[in-house]
Amino acid sequence: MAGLPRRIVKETQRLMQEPVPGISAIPDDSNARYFHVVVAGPEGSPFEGGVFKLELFLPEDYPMSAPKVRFITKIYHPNIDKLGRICLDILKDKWSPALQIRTVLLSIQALLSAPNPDDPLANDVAELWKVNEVEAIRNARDWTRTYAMGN
Amino acid sequence: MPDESRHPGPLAPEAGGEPRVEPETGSASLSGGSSPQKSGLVKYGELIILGYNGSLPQGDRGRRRSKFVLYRRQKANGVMRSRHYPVKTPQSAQAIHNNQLHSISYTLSRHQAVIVEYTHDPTTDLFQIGRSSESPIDFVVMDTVPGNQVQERVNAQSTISRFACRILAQRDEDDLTCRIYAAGFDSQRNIFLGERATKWETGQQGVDGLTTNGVLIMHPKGEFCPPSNSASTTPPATSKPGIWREISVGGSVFGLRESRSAALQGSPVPSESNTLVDGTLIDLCGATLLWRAAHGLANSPTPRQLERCLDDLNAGRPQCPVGLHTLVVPTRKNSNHVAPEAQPVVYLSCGHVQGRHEWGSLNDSKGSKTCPICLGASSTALLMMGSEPGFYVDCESPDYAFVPCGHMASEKTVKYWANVPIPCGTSGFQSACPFCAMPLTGTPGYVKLIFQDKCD
Repeated sequence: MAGLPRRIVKETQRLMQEPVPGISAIPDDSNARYFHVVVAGPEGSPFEGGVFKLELFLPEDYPMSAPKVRFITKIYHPNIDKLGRICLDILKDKWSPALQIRTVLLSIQALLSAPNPDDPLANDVAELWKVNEVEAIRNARDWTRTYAMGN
Repeated sequence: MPDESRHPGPLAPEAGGEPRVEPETGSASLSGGSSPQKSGLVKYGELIILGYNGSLPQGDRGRRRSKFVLYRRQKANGVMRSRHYPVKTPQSAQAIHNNQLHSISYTLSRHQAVIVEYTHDPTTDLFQIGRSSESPIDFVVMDTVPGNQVQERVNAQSTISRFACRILAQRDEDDLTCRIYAAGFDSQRNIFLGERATKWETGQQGVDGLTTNGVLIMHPKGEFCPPSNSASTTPPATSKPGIWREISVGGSVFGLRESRSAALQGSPVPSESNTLVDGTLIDLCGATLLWRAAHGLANSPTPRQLERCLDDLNAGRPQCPVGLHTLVVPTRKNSNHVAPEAQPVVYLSCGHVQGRHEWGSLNDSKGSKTCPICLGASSTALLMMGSEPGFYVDCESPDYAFVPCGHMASEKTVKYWANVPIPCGTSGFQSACPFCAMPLTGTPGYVKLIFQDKCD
């Protein structure tokens, strides 16, 4: 695509050549700034076995501002809301142009391993996670099975 | 035109970077090939002006350059003290009018002066340093403007004496001792210490005195640039800056005056001498010179070694973590060929090295930016190699940079210079980058560089 900044070209090339284990990110055929992302639920987490689709968009002034990332697959997680929006500091005020698509996706993968109910986006999920973690984890597993496996 | 044949100076550096001179003609040798040793030249040492990174910003020309190499002269031109006698008015004394005779005239009062005559000394060579471009000055030194800048106002007041100091070097190959004295002989081979200059009578009915702004020296404690002994497990001891002293016209050592040009001399320091040692600093009030003895320079990195260090660094293809492009640290040689986006920028608080980009401006008065790697607030500087080998105290790689200018040097080198107080103003001191004379800011005044090799 003409006029694509060299940095985006380089990042894309590296994502294809050396993909991060458990993550795939493929640019859209018609828009090189739009990525189809698939993240595998991390081992040992309630999301294990699930395959989560996300969309990632690089805004015009990327990397001076953060990529926009959203879960498409429904997920039961205290930091991800019904619309798939993600509460992650590096996507907001802690963004730095030294971060990359790769590091953002790694951070999201880590967020699945370590939910943080003290900084919630989905309040009901976070509440249950705090008062009854066993039940919350069971819900997360159920949702993973229902929405993130095989279909 | 000054008579260059009588006062040979060091001239244009040859291709290899090592300036040399043929004392007989005083003309530049631009041909490569035989080294000074091979052609029979004996090198005393080098005087390097602090604040220049290998050459003057406007280029080195003739006797006006960033460093001066002292070679043994074809014919001795040194002088030694002979007789002294009182006169009523120095202007009428025969010695003053005899252009073949070196003399120093100390005016004690309106009608009383002492004249000290000097005769030819076949065992020493005389080198003179000062602001004057007259022929007796071998090394013309102008006031240093920090930041590798050319003095803008041509007629700006200078504080450097036209005939600031002189060095007498022993011609004996086994003893190439160099001694420094305040004041230099003018074209009539006279030094005049006027009525207002600080002077006093000495023990043997002699006299001595100080020049207006004085000549200060500082010997380092320990070896400035010790030999790197790879066989030894203990690292060579590092030298530390010593104490600034003042040198008199007669070559005696004194404590500093209360302020730079105060009327009263400091207390004598008989335990110290005016003999230059490797690493002695000479302050002429407006410019500071570093003396590197020939034997000490042998331990210093060569220009090629420094280039190789930099080549190694650039060969690692350091990357800008934001632009994801390769950075190239410029040297004086390649600086014109480095693309603007390849020029590295160092964040001076944390040492992270990146390319130029606009992210993270904090809009404060200092132009601070947020470092994209550690998110700390920091001012930034363009990274530039410290290319003058004489300022290095070892041959290690340039892993550090001075703050705020961004000149790179080895760890021990930045630590040494950050601890050197350079005289400034009438009684102040300030540490500075030797490559550009910018006063160092913050503590410690330098930063360890952190390059990103692969951005993941």
